[in-house]
Amino acid sequence: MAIVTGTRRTGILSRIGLYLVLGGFALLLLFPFLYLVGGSLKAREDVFSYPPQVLPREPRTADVGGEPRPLFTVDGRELALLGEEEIGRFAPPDDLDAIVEVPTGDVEPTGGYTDQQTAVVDGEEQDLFDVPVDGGVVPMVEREVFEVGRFAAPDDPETEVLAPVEQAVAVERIGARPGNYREVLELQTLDRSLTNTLLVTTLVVAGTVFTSVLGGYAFARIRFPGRTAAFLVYIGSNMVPFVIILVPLYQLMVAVGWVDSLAALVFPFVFNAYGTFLMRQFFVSIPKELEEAAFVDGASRWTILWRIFVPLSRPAIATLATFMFLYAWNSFVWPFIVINAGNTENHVLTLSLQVLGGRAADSPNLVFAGVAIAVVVPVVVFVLLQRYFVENVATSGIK
Amino acid sequence: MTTLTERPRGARRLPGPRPAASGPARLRALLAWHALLAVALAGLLIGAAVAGFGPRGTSGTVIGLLLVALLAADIAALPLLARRRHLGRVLSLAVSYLGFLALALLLLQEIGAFTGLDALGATFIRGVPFLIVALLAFVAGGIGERGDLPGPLARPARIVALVALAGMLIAVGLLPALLTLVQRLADPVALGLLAGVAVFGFFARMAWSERTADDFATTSTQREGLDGLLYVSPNVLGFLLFFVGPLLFSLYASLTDWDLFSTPVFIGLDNYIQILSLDVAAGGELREGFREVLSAGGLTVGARDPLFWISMRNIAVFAVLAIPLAVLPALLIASALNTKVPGMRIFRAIYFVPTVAGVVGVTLIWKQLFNATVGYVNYGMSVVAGWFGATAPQPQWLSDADIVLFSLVIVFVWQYIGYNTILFLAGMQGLPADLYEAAHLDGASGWQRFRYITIPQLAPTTFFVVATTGIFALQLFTESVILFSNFTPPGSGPNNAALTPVGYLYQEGFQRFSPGYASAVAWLLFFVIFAFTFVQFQRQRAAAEGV
Repeated sequence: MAIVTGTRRTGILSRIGLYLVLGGFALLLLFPFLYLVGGSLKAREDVFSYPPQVLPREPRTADVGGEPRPLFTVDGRELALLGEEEIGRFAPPDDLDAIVEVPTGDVEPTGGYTDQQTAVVDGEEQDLFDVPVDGGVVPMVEREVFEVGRFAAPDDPETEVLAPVEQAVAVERIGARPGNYREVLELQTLDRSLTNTLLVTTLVVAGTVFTSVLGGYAFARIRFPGRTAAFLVYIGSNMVPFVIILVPLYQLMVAVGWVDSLAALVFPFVFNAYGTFLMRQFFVSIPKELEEAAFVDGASRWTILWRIFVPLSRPAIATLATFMFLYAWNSFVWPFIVINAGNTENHVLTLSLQVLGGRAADSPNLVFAGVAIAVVVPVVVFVLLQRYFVENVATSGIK
Repeated sequence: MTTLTERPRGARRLPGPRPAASGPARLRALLAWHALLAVALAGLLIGAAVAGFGPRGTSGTVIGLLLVALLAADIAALPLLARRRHLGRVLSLAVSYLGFLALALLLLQEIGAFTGLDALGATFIRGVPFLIVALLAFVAGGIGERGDLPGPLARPARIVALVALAGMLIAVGLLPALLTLVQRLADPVALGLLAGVAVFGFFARMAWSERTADDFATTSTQREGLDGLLYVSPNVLGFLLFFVGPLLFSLYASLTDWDLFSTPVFIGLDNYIQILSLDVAAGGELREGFREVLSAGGLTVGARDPLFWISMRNIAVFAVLAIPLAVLPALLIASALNTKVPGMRIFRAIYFVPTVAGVVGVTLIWKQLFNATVGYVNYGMSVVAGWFGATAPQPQWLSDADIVLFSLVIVFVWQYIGYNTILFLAGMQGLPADLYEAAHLDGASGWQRFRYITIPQLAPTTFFVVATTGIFALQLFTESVILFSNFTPPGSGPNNAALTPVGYLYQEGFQRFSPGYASAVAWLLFFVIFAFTFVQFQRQRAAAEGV
């Protein structure tokens, strides 16, 4: 508002500034999701590459002698890695500075494998090797061993270049691995968790909408003894944090034998004070004339509720449904307590992800794929229904 | 119905007993039913007490008390019914209806209808396409909707949605599941329960019927009251069973010594005393049974239950950082968003996404971002430091005891800041525009208008935002479980540096199996949350009066 009422002259500039601020903030909030999508398409090693990158990459290869070979940048040229070789640094025991570099495959133990001769160097006994030097063979001690890559240009594979592999930079291109998604669904029975979550969420949403419509209608339109007191208790109960009843609710589940069962995730959550409150507030705003006419025509309360009130209450029902959808889909603490960690058959997504996340070091790319599946559903539902949801959550909370 | 409403109000209360012989058969049947039920219930209770059958322990006590209440209502109904008092009909209805519901639930439980959900989990995937069609139809039905007028697609969309829902039920195999349940009815216990459901249902229906209402000369106000109770009953009964009952039981449990395997022993406030006992020693030794919580400047504070106080200290530090950081920037961004320039709807939707996406998922992303060697957080800090020619520290976000609370703050703030922005924005859009115009004419600057109009006018919204953020913050648990999953107990972090009160409650209640003690922790946490909300409320009142 402060900006709208500003003068025209500064309008354009301040508008650009505004978009920059809002866009930057949006990027900050969205960046982890971009990283998530990228990460879910990466190979395992790619997640651990430094510096971190959003887009998934894969090594580029070139065809050398009929086989794909990874490409590296060596001394500014793109060369294919043909193989690796172990190079030893050898020196005669009496002149340790006269080092020669020879592939370890080319040397043999002095005196044979079973009866290798030794020499004392720096007060330590060390094995001697026959090292070919300038056409002759000299017994030497091994000072150091390192790996090098044998590189060659793809169009000229005969001319090999030896260079340390660690210093060569792999040539990469953007390449996604959508197979991660299939793999993660098979891991940890995530596919079963997904359908369990869908089932639980659907039932919670449907059950809550049903009981809230009935209760909200009674609170809004029917005068019955104790209505005001009950409504006050309902409003007050919104203040009580769920964790208070964690222990006794669990005991109740033990008593009725629902521990480890999806029933424990559904039935305690379909009687919702917040939902009743929301529906009541909406029903109160519906003009009385509409139902009075129907009453005169002899319609029952039931008919009036489902034929007049419910069709008029799409926004409120959509808000409640979205709210309960997000709540049920994302709920973690209660499933974490009431569903046994070992019983993966009855896991919901949040639980499976928690178990999977505990092993993130093994396969963060798969964890990302699982998270992406868990995140995309509520986000899509929210985008479809946000027209109702954003406005109602924002306004109902403040009343 | 109309004849009844025209009857004078006092007519029902005319003195003089009605001759019982003229009472219709319905009334006699109801009386016989309640008399029989009273005998049966009394027999059951006495038998359970004397012969000792039925459930033992806490659940036995609760069930016994409920049955006694039912019996009392049943006996009280008898004379009132005989005198055709409205209260008698209400009691009769209550007894029969509640008995009907209880037996029906027991029957469903007996044949495994509730735990049968687990089997549906395997087949539910087949119903998902139908479900998506139904959802899309619902969304399509809202297209072109204007106020109270339905859109052009409303009717076809509703039909499509209903057909899709029916298709879903068939596809997930509801029919064979129902058949299985029906087959399980062939069992003596289930059949007995079924008979009970039928009998209670029959008499509930009889007492509810229009003719019984006429017998009792029920007024339209009384009819309305009964209607209301019926409509609200599923909700209220579920609320009592799954919320009020556990809440009261939690209060009782917090006053007991209970190790889950034996019956709770009432010990008064001992749990609370154990939790809250503190001892301060200046240089010297703490008293017997106290262990150190923190020491500063020669003073050592010890507690009988150090973990509780550590969790409280952690959550206090967390809340002091997280709440302002999740609220104040949101207020500023909301005032920037509160303009009529195009594209604001898109920004609003984007800002909601972190809250919508689910705590577990987003925390797992952050866990990777926090990776000390290859994570984006440390990389970003080095890049920014590099611009100024400096080197950034590379904190161990997930394992350094001095840092872990900040990691939690970052994840929390990131989740709620957008949500709070939207709440503030909604509050601002409800503010009267003429105030701003008047201030503008008086030459108030943008900052002055924000400081002297927006902030005071927005006090109710601010209260709501701060209170909800605080309630979420003080119940922090999921984030720490996910970020610090490799510590035992889960979420405690290095040296308990990330242990939260809910985490401690979880530890006591579900790992050390002392639900009584855990309940006391829960009530103390509730008290803290309540006190926080109350203080915010007082501040809001003060701010609103100061305008």
